[in-house]
Amino acid sequence: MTRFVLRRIVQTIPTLIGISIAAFLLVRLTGDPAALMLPPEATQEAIDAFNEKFGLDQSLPVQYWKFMSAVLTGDLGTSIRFNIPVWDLFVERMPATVELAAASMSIALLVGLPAGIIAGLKNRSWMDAVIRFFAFLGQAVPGFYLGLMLIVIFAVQLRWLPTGGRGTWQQLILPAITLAAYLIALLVRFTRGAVLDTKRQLHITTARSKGLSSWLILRSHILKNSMIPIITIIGLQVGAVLSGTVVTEVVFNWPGIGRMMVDAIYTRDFPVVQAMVMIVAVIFIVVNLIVDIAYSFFDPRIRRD
Amino acid sequence: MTPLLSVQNLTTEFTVESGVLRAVDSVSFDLHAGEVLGVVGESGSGKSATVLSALRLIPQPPAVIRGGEVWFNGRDLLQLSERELKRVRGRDISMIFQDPMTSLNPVLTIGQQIAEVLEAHDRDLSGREVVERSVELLDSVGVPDARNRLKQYPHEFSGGMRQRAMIAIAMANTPSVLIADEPTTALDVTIQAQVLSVLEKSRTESGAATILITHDLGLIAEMADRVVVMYAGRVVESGPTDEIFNSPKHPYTVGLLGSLPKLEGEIQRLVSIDGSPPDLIALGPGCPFYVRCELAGTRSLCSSERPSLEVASSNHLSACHFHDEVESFAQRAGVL
Repeated sequence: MTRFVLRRIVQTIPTLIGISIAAFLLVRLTGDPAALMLPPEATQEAIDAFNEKFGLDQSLPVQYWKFMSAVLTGDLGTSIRFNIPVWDLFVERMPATVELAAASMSIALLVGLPAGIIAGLKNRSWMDAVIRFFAFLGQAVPGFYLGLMLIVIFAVQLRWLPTGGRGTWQQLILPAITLAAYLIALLVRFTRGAVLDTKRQLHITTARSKGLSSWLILRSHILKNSMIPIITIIGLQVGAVLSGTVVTEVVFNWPGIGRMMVDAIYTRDFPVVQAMVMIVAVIFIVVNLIVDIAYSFFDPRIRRD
Repeated sequence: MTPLLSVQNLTTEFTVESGVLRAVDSVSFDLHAGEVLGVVGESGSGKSATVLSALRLIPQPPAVIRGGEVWFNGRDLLQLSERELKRVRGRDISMIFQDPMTSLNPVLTIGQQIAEVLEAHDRDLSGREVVERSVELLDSVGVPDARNRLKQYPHEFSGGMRQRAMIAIAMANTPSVLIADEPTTALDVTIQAQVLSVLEKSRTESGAATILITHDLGLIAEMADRVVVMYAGRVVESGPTDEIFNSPKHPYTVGLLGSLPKLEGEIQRLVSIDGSPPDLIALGPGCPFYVRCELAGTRSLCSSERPSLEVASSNHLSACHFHDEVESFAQRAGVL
């Protein structure tokens, strides 16, 4: 297992290099930071001084080399806009993202998994129909619309919950539900499919022919065999919500890293964008690695070493 | 003598898009203590559906058990609660399935899969006793190094070894009825014989009465005491094995026998039964075998009236209007 993990970590190096080049080049296509950060009447000297200060006067390969060698020594660069290290910005914003991700993912698992299992076990029943209808709705309704509707109903009309911001648990509820709605829908669909697929396998008939209790068949035969597709989708979604959920964060004025990244792109804050893309890539890679390790826990056929 | 297991008029239907399909149509047969009952027929003739329905293992929906009785130990299995039936399954009546790759759970060890059937029917067993009994069972079906192999998963077993493990699971609670559904069909020819001898050994040692489902008439000739021949969801002939082979009473059985290679005499081309099994959704009023039957010819009785299963000679039942003519027909056809 250790060898497998080490090998996977080594394999991520080319991925990270590729991502860093893409992020570095793409953000430079958005335009010139000096034009945005300096007043329109700024003199050529001021612009040159600005570019020199942030190293933007050098050739692209040199800039990239400086960026990467700094990253390797743990220096993610300094925000042009705020003039503070990107790492400090990340540390400031990440807790909000983790909080929202944890809350929405918990809701999604608590609701989506059981609903998906019931729909799969009782397929073609009225319960299945109801669950599938809501899953369809959850996937079809865009996040910004659901968020706004929740604000209109629960914050504006009923005045039960605040419209946005972060700090109290009441402020967490609406954004968490908004994000969870989509996650639940996705989880229901995958869980239902996996359970339905497993339920039809011959070894389930064998298990039933052995006179096992329904609970045992569900737990150690149906669910254990359904876990691979389910943890795949959970892993992908954990990666996605941890890398910031722009729409939900914007609608609810939630100070997470998603909003920070979008703001950085608008203001051409190159160091922030570059570094955040790298961080998000690392988060994705780590989550995927955990998912791969989890696979071998659930399926002995892909167990390594 | 009261039969150990008695299936009476069992009927199971499947609702599919194009209509209702009667996969098991008024099937009746008895299984007596200690005997081996062979069930033969083409794919789709309802062999598996019959036994799966008898234990209510057939997935409902899409299947619906429309009627019938399955008597075992003085109780009708079709009337038992699910809870009561679970105590019969795996303890009194157990099953071996065709493909040991797909009928064992890939994510549980062989040991876990043996242990769960022991524990399900005897809650007083200690963990230690379960392991010892599992080792004993795996050992008895000829899996070498049984203790260590309990910790392995099905994919670490070869096909033959997996089917031995399946037999061990089926025999775990020394059932009085064993249902083997094509137990060697999915195996390499070279290991079929080994697995069969393991099955035969387990069966004789435990004295379990056995229903052997197969389309392999050679296997039937070797193992079965009596035979039930199924066609289009119905029993078309049943009787003692030697009678079925020596004086068949149904043209379909003659067709099956004709497709067997013979050891003596000149090697001739193997005969096949023309046509294919009928569409169970669109069965006419006559005999389901009529269109493929060489004996029927143009006789209107065969196309208009469905023959019922009647006594052709002592212990020998046939669902053919002209069962008296079958034997001479078989001789003309060179089958006997």
